[in-house]
Amino acid sequence: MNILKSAGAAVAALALSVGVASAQQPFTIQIDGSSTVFPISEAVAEGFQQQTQGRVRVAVGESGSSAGLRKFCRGELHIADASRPIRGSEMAACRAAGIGFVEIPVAFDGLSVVVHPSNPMRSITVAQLRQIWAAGSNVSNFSAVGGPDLQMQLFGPGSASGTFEYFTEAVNGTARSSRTDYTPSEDDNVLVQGVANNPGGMAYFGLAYYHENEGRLRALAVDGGNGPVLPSVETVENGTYQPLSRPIFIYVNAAALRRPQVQQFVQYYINNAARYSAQVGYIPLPAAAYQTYLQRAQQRQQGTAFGGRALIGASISEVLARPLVLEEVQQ
Amino acid sequence: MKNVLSKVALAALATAATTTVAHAQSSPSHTTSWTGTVGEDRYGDARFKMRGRFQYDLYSSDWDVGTADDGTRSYVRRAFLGVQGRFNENWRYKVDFVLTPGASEVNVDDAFLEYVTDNWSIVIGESNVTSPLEDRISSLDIPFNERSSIINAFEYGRRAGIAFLAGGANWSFSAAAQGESLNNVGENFAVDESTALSGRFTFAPIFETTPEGTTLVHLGAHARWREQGDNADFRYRTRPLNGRNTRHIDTGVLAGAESDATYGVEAAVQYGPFGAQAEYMVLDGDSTGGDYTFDGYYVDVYWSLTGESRSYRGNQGSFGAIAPANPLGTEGGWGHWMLSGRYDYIDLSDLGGASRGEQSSYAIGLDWVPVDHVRFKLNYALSEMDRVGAGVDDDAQVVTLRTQFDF
Repeated sequence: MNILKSAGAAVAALALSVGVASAQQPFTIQIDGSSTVFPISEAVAEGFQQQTQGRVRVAVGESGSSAGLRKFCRGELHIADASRPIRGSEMAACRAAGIGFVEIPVAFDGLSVVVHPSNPMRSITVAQLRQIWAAGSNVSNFSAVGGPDLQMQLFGPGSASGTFEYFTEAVNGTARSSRTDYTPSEDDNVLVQGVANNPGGMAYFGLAYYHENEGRLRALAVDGGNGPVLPSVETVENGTYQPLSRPIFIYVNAAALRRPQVQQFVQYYINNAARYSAQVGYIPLPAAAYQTYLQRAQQRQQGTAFGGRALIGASISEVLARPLVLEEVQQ
Repeated sequence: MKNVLSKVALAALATAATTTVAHAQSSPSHTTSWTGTVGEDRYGDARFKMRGRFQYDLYSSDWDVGTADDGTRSYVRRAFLGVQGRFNENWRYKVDFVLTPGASEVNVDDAFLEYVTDNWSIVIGESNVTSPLEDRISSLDIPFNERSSIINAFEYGRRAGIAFLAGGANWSFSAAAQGESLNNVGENFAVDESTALSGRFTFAPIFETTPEGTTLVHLGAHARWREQGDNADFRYRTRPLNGRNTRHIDTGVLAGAESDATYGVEAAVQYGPFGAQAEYMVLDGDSTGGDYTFDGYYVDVYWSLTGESRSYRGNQGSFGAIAPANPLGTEGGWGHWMLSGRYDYIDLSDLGGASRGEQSSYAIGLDWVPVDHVRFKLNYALSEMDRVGAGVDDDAQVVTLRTQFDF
């Protein structure tokens, strides 16, 4: 039985060394998800780490809304950034893994359609956008949608992106239904580069990335039926930039909100969301909305106001008025 | 019933195969999703992917009296290759073929068609959806190399039939009417030779997960009634916590044992890296030699040295794989390490031949999951076997190192 004794000793030694090696590291709040929400979360994280003098670490990723929510519902994240509401299937995944979530809208975005500054086009209708982006579309020249005789080069977010989901639902009528022969990237800076470097370039992404690159891109005024409207803080706020205005969210693990570090961070996020979202180019919610969401975080009120599906063209007040539900609402 | 159900299951599987082929021929627009370890083919709402597992054991056993089993040996414990997928949101399937080297027949593990809705589903084919906790946990994810004595001796496992499942965030319910296993061809699939009715209910009054771990209290109960018809040959026996070696405690074939009923309760808790799990079962049967009652239980404790919690599935009332928080190869990554301890007891002394008796086993285990889907398990087990009949008592010590991977 010598073999048994040595095996036992080896086990004990290994156990000890692993136990020692994995001793406590500083607490890190894990955030991942939407690249649209990323600039706000990153700015908030920086501010919070400064305020807490590095006692709490915050790691922010940008792998896309879908990838983020998938990780969130596996229990790998404290917070998922999302540029669309949580889906019914994701609610089910979270439920099965023992994960409750608190939904916090943090700002509004005007999803912007951009072209190269040399492109003479100034506006586009939703019908024309659908002509270009619909599944199976073979539109390859701006002349097909009332523009110049110019070869199109399309750039857009990848399929893990909430922006992709919102845009396809709002424009094509079906979420995730899109032509696929464009250059996709989850990194919005790649999309910005693509359009800035190609006279025939066209792309869509969050307003913040347009604001940041205003000199190198032109945003098209979008005509949703009431005349062309340019995306801006004013037009999103007053509800005229439709149907591409949308709320953007953070989803917080409800049980993790009992941890002082996470609770503190989320409160800091909500208290400073107006400042940071304006700073990076999004549209803050009304102060009363942030008050409501602060209470929601403090009381760990779980559920979504969207019933597990997208809500196209909702105004800020509409979003606020909706009750929270824990299970997908059938239509 | 066996016959009918098996045929339904096989017919369903055959239909499944044809449908897939038809799709493949008619559509150019297949895409591949790489979110798992293997690519999943997607075609509209349809999904299809390969799956498989391989478990290789090296073990050394040392018996006090019956030294015939002494020695160091290695063998393939399991080699599965299978497919899983769905035709649309509602119709799903899973088939695992058991292709263990050295086995003379090809068997199936899970082999079923499932109709799924949001709140319930129906499973047709070979499954174990009503089995108690430890049998519901995949052989890839059980903390010890082998399941407990009660699971093995009371013959839990897969059978062919039809089952109903329902579940919510923290509860699950299942009920099944089944015949024999599809692998048991011995009785020529006679419908009246084997029937089982079974059900299980689980509830987790506390179940919360955060990146820091899971807090869980799991409770469950199950029952199974079996009828064997003319072919009354129930026999209950157990090995000293290893996949091989003699089953020293053995009732022998109980003459005229036509039916038995098993009742069990289960509990599990998890608090971050610490966990415990226990099950108790009692089995009542009747035979020409008289009625009999056997029972047993096991108690496990776990400690994840690297901090991960066991992953619990509330709507199934079972545990899944533990993915390492810091896989080997990442910065500061040791993979996942877990220490486990087990006490296992079974009492098969109420009725039977010379080898009937009771067995107590103590086991400790060390698990290493360097990266997700690769796992090494080192187990040491000491079993004390006390025969009530004329047979001799014995002790056995077994050390087993398992190497496994799956995809």
